[in-house]
Amino acid sequence: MPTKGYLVERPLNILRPEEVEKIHEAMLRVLEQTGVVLDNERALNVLSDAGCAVDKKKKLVTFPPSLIEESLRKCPDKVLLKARNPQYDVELGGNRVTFCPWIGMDTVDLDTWERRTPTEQDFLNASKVLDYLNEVHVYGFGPYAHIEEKVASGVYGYLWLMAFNLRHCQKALFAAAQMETDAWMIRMFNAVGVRPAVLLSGAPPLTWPGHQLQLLFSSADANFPLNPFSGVAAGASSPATLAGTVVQNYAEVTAIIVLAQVYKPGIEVLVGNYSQVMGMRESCVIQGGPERALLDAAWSQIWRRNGIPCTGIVGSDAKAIDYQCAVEKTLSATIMALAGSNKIYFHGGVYDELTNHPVAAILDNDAAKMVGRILDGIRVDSATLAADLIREVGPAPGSFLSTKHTREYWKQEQILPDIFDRWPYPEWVNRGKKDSIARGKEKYEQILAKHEVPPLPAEQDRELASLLEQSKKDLQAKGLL
Amino acid sequence: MGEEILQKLKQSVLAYDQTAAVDWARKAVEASIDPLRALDVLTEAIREIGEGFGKGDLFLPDMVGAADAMKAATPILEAAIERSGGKRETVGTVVLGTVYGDIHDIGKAMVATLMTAQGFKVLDLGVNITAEQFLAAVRETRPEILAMSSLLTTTAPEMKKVIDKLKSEGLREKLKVMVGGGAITESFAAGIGADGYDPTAVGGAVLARHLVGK
Repeated sequence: MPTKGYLVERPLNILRPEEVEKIHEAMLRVLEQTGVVLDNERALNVLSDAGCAVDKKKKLVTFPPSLIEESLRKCPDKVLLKARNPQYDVELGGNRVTFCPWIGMDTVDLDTWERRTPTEQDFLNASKVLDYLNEVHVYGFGPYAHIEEKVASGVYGYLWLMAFNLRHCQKALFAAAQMETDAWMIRMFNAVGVRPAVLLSGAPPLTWPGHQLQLLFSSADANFPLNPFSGVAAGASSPATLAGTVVQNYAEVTAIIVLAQVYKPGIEVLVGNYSQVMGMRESCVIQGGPERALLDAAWSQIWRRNGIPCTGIVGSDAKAIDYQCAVEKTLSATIMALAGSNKIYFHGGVYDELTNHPVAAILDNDAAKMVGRILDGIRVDSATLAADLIREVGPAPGSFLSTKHTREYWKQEQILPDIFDRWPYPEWVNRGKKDSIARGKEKYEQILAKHEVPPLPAEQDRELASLLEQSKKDLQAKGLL
Repeated sequence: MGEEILQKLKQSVLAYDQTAAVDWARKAVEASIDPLRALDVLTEAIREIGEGFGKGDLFLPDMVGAADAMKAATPILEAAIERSGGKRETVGTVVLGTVYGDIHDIGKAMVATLMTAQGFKVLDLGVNITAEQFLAAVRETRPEILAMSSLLTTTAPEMKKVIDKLKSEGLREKLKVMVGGGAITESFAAGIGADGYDPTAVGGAVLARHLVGK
């Protein structure tokens, strides 16, 4: 039976309660006084009808606080994702924490650390691994965001990717669409009976592109949950201060929540966070580090305040699977998990969304297991306190090893990593002095040799192929390909 | 009836049940079952547990639990063998203890139990054992193996003291010396002139068999 993630009993509060309220008040002020640009006529009309002030020329909407509060209240506290295999259906929200693969534009060579565009075989290999790994509770967008040109290009590329995931993954999926591909995307998911959450990407500061708002309407019509992300970079597209970045990000996503709840009251929303900081020395966005972990922890706390499920992304600036990669990713994942992020994009990412590799996912699976164990915490009851047992065993030479209590409880208390080495030194030597990447590579080969993802039923597979072909022709006819 | 008792004896070890193992060993003796055959059954059970451990299906508490059950039943069967004038074949005798200044017992006791399960006769001297006490036991029992444990970096040098004394009294060549414990590494073991080292109790018991050529 697939696991459904972990429960965090007492989530970490990185902010004081009064600080959360100050952030909330600041968000209301931003939306009421500054507003958000929504580059979509229909969205402007819907919000105007709901009582927002709309400047159609500037496409700028300002929001009355009462409407914002009402919209936040209308969001359900759970989001249901239906997978191809119902065993992998997952309800995100509350105190549940799940792990999910992160995407990469490229794959990376594990010897030279050179990047290259993934081939279809890379997709197949990675999807097998992600299907196999038990700490991948949700599949998300799968391992890669890009395929070599000869397979699929342009806006058709994302449709190809969606179809690939539907074919080669039985876990719960997320969906995305660009330009005029939303209708095809929805038809493909419906053909397979999969209910994804749909990613909506903002363009900060305080701006949402028209096609993403169109995607909001079509996804709402399809009764798919929404997953709005803003994607701020502190110091560039949002204030340099982390608090200011949280306020702006909160305002940007809340604007979408208002639009969604006005359009379709009660629609499920899973708020995404992709907050980063601008590297002022490096002149590029910083993907890992404590700043991002703090932004994610604050994000989770704010959405717990509102009772709305949220997600976060673990990232790293490392170009190789190395010490930096492990520290940055696991630090972020631990803090996010403790703060109660409902879905953490984690497995496989190396250099944030730029490179991804299934061997990294295999190593991340052990890290996820460790983070999950921390969430499980320390169980305290009369059996685990073991005072009677301690009396029974007594002082040395008493030993707990052969007691029934030890045999019963050690497996509940300890994890067994698959890849991380815990053997004594001579055994590590006997096993070839391999480092974790070498062991990960071996596991990778084993999974490829032994694991098969159950295929889609033939009829659904044909239907998907047909939809994909029709979508290509449609996009060509519209001059989009 | 006899076969049923032997199966129950085996099952008691596989279920890590010391009380049942003692009961069924007694019943085996009362039913005049060949105690050597009963000991073989105990060994079969331990071998099965060992195989499970090797495959990763079973774990240290299972190994030690089964070995403890076997260890509890063994003296009953050994006494019956002695009464019948027979002799139990062992793979050798081991004298072991924790060195002077160190009173850590569990790791050493685990090794003793697992060595017993491997077919050794084990004389466990206990903890805080001086070089003189180790040598006296060696002189008295003439073991194939002397095994010493030290958890502390501060007491590990005691092992060299014991080995040096064995040399000076002409006893060193007559036995194998193996060392273990949290403070020990293979380079330390080689440096003090030990014949073998293993960082785990399970590995230590296997090493003991290798050292006596079994």
